Amino acid sequence: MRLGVLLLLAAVWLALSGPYTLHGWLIFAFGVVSVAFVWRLYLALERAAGGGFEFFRASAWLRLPRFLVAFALKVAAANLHVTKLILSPKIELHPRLRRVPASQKTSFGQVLYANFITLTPGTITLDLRDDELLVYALDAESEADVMDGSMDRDVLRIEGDSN
Amino acid sequence: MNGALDIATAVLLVAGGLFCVVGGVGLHRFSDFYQRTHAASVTDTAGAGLMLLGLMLQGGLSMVTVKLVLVLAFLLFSSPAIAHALVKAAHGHGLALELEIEDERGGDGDAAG
Amino acid sequence: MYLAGMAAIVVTMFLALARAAIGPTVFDRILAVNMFGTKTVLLIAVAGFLTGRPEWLDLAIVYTLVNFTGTLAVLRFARFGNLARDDRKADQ
Repeated sequence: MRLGVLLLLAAVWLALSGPYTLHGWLIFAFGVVSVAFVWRLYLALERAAGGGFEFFRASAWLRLPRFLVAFALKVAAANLHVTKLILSPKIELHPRLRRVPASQKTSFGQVLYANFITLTPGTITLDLRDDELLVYALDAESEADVMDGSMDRDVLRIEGDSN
Repeated sequence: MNGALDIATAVLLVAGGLFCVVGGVGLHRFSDFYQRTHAASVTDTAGAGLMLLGLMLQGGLSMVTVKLVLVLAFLLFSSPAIAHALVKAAHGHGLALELEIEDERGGDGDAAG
Repeated sequence: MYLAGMAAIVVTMFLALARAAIGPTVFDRILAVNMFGTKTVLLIAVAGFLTGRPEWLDLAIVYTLVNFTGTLAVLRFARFGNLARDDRKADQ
């Protein structure tokens, strides 16, 4: 898993630069140094977070496409809704603050869920504590997107049985 | 070049541009800061997503597309982090939050501080 | 088509700038400036295709990351009035 992070960083760097130029190998050396440095930062981060990013397992990558499709559909629907709100002649909002349970097991899963909610226009995560999210929603329809728990299930599905 | 691809790109670019402008308009039509963050998130998801998707069609299977995917991935990771940080900072700072419905214990946003 | 996209982006940038100028709170301004930065990334990407130089995407990637870090730094500054504050002390 940690090696997965290292390989991922190396692949990203190789994709962006890579020893293609005249001074390629000097740059390659820089690349090795920066990958090692960022990997070291990641290890420190993992220690600070008290757990790793389980998503670098192969099985999670296999489930990724389905998650991305569900994610894209949700975000698209929310975008249309907020667009409608913005363009309506008289803006009528019913802002609300709700507590939403985050049933993910890992903290990374919970953060992913929180980010998912925040990324969806119309809802924003204010806080995450005690396995509960504090969600600010623009109106009843945006709120319903979160409260029906479908996004929670999407994230649960990609989280899988990572423990 | 390829006609159908060009048309698809044009449609995606224009649609993305429209969402961008809608977000920009929302930034002015919504009445308080917390609502405006939602308008900004329209431009960050639909606007940027559609436009980059349109460019990906032009890039084809090449390094260009990989870089476009990276730009999109970075945007999708950074934009909720920024939105959350902003809203939490504003809330912790005591910027008034207008609400119609609120769960109990809902308002004590900076108690965990 | 690239020009139409760029025109839309530039209009959005002006709207964001206007919000940044109006405020009224510092958070509105940070939000608007961050949005301006995201639009800049898009503008660079589209302009790269318009001029037939997709290498500009490297700039777009770097700008995304700088925009993210910069916004967080400004936010931290707005909150603590100091970039070098130690969180462990601040939490007490």
